[in-house]
Amino acid sequence: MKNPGQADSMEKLDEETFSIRDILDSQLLTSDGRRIGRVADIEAEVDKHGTFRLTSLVMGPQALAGRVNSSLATLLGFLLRDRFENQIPISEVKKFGPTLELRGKAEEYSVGQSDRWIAQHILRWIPGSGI
Amino acid sequence: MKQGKQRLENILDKQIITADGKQVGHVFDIQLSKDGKNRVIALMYGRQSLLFRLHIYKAAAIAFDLQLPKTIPWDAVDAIDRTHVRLKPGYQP
Repeated sequence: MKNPGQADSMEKLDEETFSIRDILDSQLLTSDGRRIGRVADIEAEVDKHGTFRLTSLVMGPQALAGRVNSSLATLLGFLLRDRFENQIPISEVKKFGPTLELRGKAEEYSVGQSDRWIAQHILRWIPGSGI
Repeated sequence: MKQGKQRLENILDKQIITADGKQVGHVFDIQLSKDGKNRVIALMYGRQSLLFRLHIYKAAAIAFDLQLPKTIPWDAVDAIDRTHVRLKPGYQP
C-alpha cells in the first residue's frame, strides 16, 4: 500500500460499510437455533419523502430465479403461483452478520415448513437421524 | 423517485445514466445506513464496487493500490426503469 491515508480509509470502508452483500445469501437463524433458509432477495419501499427503506427479506425459488434472469422468475411465478415465496419483515432481524439472527422461533415463520415436514414425517424414521 | 416497492436484485447490475444519457457504470452493490433504520443511502458502482461485493476488495486494494469504490447518493436517483437507473438533472458523478 503506497498511501497510509488510503490504507486507513480502505480499512474503515471494509469494516464500516453495510451493504446488501451483507444480507443476500445470509443464513437465517431463529431464536431457538434453527436454520430456516437463506435470503434470496430484499424488498424495499420508497416512501412519500423519497426515502428508500428495506421492508422485508424474500426467500424461495422464485426470488432466486429472478437473480439469474427476470423472465425465469416470471415463469416460475406462473408455475408455482407464489406458493413457495416467503417474506420476513426486516424488523424481525435482531442481528445482521454472516448469519441473520431472527427474533422469533422457527414455527413462527412460514419459511422452512417443507424442511420441517420432511424431518418430522420421513427423516425421523431413519435410525440415527437424531430427530 | 416514484413511491412503491422494489426488489433490490432488480436494481443490481443495471446501467446508471445521467439525465442527459451519459453512461456512468453499473450498480454492483447498494449501501445501507447503519442507524437501524435500514435506509438505502447510496448505489455503489465501478470495478472496485464489484470487488467489494465479492468480498475481495481489501485484498485487491492492497495488491493493486486501488481507489475506493465509487458511490452515488440515493438522493441523486431520479428513476429506475427496466434497464437503467436514471440520475436527477444536474447531478454529475
